[in-house]
Amino acid sequence: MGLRLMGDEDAFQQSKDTVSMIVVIPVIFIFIILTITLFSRFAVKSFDVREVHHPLLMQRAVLSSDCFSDGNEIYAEKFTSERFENCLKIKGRNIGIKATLEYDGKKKEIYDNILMTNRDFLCHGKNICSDERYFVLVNDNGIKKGWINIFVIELKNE
Amino acid sequence: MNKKGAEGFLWLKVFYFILALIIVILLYGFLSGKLSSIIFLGYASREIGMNIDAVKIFDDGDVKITEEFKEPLYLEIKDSKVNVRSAANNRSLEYDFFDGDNEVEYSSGDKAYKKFVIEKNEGGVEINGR
Repeated sequence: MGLRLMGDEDAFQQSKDTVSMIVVIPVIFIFIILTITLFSRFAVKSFDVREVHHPLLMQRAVLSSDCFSDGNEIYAEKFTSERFENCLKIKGRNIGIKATLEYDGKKKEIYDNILMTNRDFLCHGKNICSDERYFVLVNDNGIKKGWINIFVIELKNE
Repeated sequence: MNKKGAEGFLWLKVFYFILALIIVILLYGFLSGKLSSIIFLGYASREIGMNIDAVKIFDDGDVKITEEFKEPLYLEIKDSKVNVRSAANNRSLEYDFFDGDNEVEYSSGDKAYKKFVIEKNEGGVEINGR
């Protein structure tokens, strides 16, 4: 078989390959960078533990002696928004907690983060709301049976 | 195309294949390393943050939580934030917890620990690296 010079068609094919290589290589690198960025973002986002975290806050509000209770009973005089804000510090986060104490025909509502009052309508999509009701003993000039309702709303940061 | 041209074309394809293989192996190694590190740090920071919130429920000394991780970590807790930094690759991640009146502050300093003991004492939450 004799030697044959590169024909017009081959030359065209080779130049086409070179041009496609110039395009394909940067595309590969852009793809790599995008994949790394997206993977890193999703890996962190997939660690959304707010639904696990909320029950801890609720238990803390009900049981901790830093809040209203001594571990056994809730003291009616300690059940104030000011004490609530000090025992569970929100510090500018998109979270709000409402606690409602009902006993002996009385009803008291307190808030941790007043900005989040009446934001129940935001409980959809990526925002997470938790609502729990606990039976409690209330100390208000004697021990009374009652209920405490804790409502937590946390808005997605982005 | 002559024989030389055909050979050159074949080598170019081999080169493409090797290049693609190298890119895939490097990308896999990088992503798997980075991801497992992020997953580990994400887990560790959230676990410690929630441990602090959990011990705050109880009275002094009622509950003591010991956490042991697979890798040593530098731990810093300040301003309602848990910051964990891997001793292996220096990557770090932060997670918020809910502080109270007695603010929790801790720093493992220049020592990385695998084990952390978290408990509530009279002075508030106490954390010790071991």
